[in-house]
Amino acid sequence: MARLRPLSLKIGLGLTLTVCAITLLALIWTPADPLAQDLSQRLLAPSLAHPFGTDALGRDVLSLVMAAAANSLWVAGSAVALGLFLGVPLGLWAAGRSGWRDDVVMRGGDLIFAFPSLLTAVMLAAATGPSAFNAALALGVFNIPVFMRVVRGAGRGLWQRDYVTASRAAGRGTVAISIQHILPHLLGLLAVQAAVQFSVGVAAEAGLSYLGLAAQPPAPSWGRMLAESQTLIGTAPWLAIFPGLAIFVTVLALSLTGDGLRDRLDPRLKREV
Amino acid sequence: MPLLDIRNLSLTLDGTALLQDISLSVDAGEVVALVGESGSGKSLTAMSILGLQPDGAERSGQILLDDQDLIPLSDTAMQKVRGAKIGMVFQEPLTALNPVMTIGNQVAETVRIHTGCSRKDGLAAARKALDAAGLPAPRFGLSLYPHQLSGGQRQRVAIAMATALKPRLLIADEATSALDPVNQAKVLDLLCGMARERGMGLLLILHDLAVAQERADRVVLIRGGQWVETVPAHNLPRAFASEYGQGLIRDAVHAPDHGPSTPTDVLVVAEAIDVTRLYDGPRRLFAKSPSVRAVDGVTLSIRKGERVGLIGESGCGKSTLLRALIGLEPIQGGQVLLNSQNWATAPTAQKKAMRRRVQPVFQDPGASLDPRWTVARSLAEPLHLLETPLSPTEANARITEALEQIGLPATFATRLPHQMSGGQKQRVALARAIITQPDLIVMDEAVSALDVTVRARILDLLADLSARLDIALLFVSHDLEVVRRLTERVVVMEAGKIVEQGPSETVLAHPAHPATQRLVAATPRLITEPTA
Repeated sequence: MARLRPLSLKIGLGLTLTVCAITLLALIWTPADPLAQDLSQRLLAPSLAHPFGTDALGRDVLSLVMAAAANSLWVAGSAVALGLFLGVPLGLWAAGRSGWRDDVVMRGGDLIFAFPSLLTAVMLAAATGPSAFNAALALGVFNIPVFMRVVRGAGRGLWQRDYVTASRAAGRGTVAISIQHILPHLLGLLAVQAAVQFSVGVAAEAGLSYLGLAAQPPAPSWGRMLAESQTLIGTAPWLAIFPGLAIFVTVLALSLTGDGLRDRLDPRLKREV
Repeated sequence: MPLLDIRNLSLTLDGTALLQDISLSVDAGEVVALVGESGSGKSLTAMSILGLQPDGAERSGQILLDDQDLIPLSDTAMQKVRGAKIGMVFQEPLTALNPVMTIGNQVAETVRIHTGCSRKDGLAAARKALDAAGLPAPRFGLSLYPHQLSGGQRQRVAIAMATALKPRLLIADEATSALDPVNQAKVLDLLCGMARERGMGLLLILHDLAVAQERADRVVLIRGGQWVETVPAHNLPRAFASEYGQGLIRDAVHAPDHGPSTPTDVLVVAEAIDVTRLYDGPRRLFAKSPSVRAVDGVTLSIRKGERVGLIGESGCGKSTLLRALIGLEPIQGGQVLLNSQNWATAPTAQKKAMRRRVQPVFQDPGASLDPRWTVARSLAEPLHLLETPLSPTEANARITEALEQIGLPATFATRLPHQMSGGQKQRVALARAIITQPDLIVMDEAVSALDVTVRARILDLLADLSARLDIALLFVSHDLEVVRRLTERVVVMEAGKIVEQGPSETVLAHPAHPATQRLVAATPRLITEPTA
């Protein structure tokens, strides 16, 4: 197991970079226009002209899968960014201020955790209409307490260090200490958590768009492609296989990166190796 | 025939010799002290005896226990030796015990692993072991958890675990170093008493030569993984033949040059008046929890350039008082004045000026510097407290000057903490404390974690800085000998109150209060004069 660890980071990073490269490529070039319908070319099996085949409307599945990556990563990435930008400062603040302020912030986080994230996304879609933005918002809100807990837990320990006390005796305020002494020590931890949340976000986005709660047609999306392939799975299995593979590879890449990073950055695990 | 006979033990890891030709022996009922500075290989020797050397390290030589060589034994065979024939007690009782297991179960587990007895018999054996370790029923029930015990009591549980199976040999690795003198003496009494009564060999791993002299029959000195000499503990200061051993003795009893003592009419830099610090007691569901008085109506004043020692048993409120003086501990009664300004009522701008006047230095040199910050950055941190901000050139000049004051070259400015030794780190921590030109430095056990050689140099430096820069020192320590040699006045605390104070020499030579008497009686001293 110990020997697999550096490997998992390498494979994870390699796959992640590949997924990102394909996503970027899809922004400027896809083999065919992903939205172009050609009813004469319906439900073709994978061939040289259409490596992943075509769907019920004659669209090129490879182009669709490539174009959908951007949407998926955008939703998951925004959700992670939202969690980081709100969760990290709140967590730092809770770690630095004990007592009721800490309680208010952390119990607020618990409150968010009490709602299932998919249900909230459904509610948000019902209230304002389904869209990729709403999906990102719903997923992002649930990332806030995740990052808050990570930062607060590890930060609390760092506040007990002598060098932080020395810094307080040198007249540094909570904000300065949090940014200069606490945050730099948490960057590794945050990188790990961000990678994990990113992979969770990709899977969740696929789930939401499968239910029709994220990106709306005609914008391509892995989850919706799976939903549309359902009735045709017997005759055109490639419609389900390739978007499914795309989700699988992306989530695996990010999870492996997260695991690998944790093993690299967490000194406690390093000692055991 | 000795009980434990180590012959030419060497330990090699990847071609590097960690230990070379260590030879020592322990007889039944004998107490042998293995002493040396940090990194000398004391703990490594102990771990090698148990077969717990680092992964991949190769042992050679012989480790004979009752004439059986332990080196060729397989790990499975060693498991039967560990705990049953050789017991081990570690330094930190908090981490050696499982916090979610009752002490009875922890001791019983050791017994059951080796004897395979029933749970009931295991608990009965645990009861006996705890009784023998000075934790008698009914006060110390088997169902207690480690957090319900004090540091000394936890160490007794660890001893009960190590001795439950009546091992032939007990190894105590700095088992009392984390305890205050009174508890240290009690735990050492227990360990040595067991050795004598049961005819058990006791190998004490120590850095404190005074403890070695007081408790051991023989002292083995090692340095850099190599055996230096083995001498009788009696009259230890004269016994060492090697230059290195003599040097250690000189450093251990080294008294820094005091300089003239502070006249009594100079101004008071810091003052605590009737200070009280309350902590919330354990939470109760409905009743209001009774509060604990950590500091209870303490009045203390420190004059400019004065060196004051603050001593007392663990938990007497020393560290809390010290934190109150630097304005980092909220107090519930009384006031703390710095140059006649009150921490509690001073406006924010004033507080900045006050912070500049008092700086702390802590015990653990490894924890007192941010591991990611260079020396220069750490040193520059307090500079923003100055009234007029410094230009980068001026700040650099100040950093170089501070490094010079504490005896490190200016090139250290770019170093990171992991590139320095413990003594160097503690010097940098001291440089950070003096860079704002404070009136008072408060030190919490600031030299306890250092080797005697390094400690002697730091004490010299402290005395010198205090005299040269007219800085007052408040020196909190368990080590009465260091306090006696460094400070001119000593303050003794017990249960949050000051119970005695006066000139250090007088108070420590003729303690009046029972608390001081207990501390003094418990503190081992290196006796330099030959005793009849």
